[in-house]
Amino acid sequence: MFGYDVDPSDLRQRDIDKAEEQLDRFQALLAEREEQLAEIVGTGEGDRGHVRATVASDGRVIKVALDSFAVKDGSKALSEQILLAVHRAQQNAQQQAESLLHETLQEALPGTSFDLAAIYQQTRSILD
Amino acid sequence: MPLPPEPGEDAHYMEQVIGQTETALNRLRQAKHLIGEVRGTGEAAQGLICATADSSGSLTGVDINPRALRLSVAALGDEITEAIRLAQQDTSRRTGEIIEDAAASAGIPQPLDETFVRERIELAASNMYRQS
Repeated sequence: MFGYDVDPSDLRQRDIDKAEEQLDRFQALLAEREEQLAEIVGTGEGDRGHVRATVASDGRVIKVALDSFAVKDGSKALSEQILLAVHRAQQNAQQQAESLLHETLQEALPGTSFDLAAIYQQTRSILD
Repeated sequence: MPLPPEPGEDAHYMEQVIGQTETALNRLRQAKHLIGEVRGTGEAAQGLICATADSSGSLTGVDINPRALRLSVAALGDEITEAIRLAQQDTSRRTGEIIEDAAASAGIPQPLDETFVRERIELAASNMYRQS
């Protein structure tokens, strides 16, 4: 987990020191990147480009903007285009946030590979 | 739950910890299930626009009354944004309440720390010293 092999049956003070040092470095980097995370804006459009959505890194919708063609096909078609635009914007924001996290992890623990999707899945299934 | 004063009570203490942990996990599982069922709603334009969001804040529906299309495109966009924003806020509030309740009632036992281990080692050392 910390980028080097530790034998649990032979845990030494230097292993603990090294893990603490890495944790400190990672926490400092995370604090630094929090600002960048807050600045992420995800964008998405409906199929025809008449509906555009922007969302924050946590998926909160910032704005839905329409052009005059957006309402031509009626309210039901408009609803579908809004859903598409917002979902695409949320996906875009999530990709940006994951990319930032991945970059941060690589910088904090160079040479270590992370499968964020697997970690996410593992976290979600803790209480299953 | 106070730590056992002597090693003879450790097994009983452990049983209590396991029981408490199981109860806490069940409460957290229940909370997770309730969170999964949360749906937030938000209305704007005097109820002509209604948005719904699921527990993750993902938009699940936008219902637009055709009369809302009489608004200017800019105003319609603002009203749609407001309905979605309110639905996401509603979701966040409901989810937050479930988490707060779960955290307050889960009662997760304090983990044994190095103090406990040190006490046990010192006790064993002192017993050995007395026996020698």
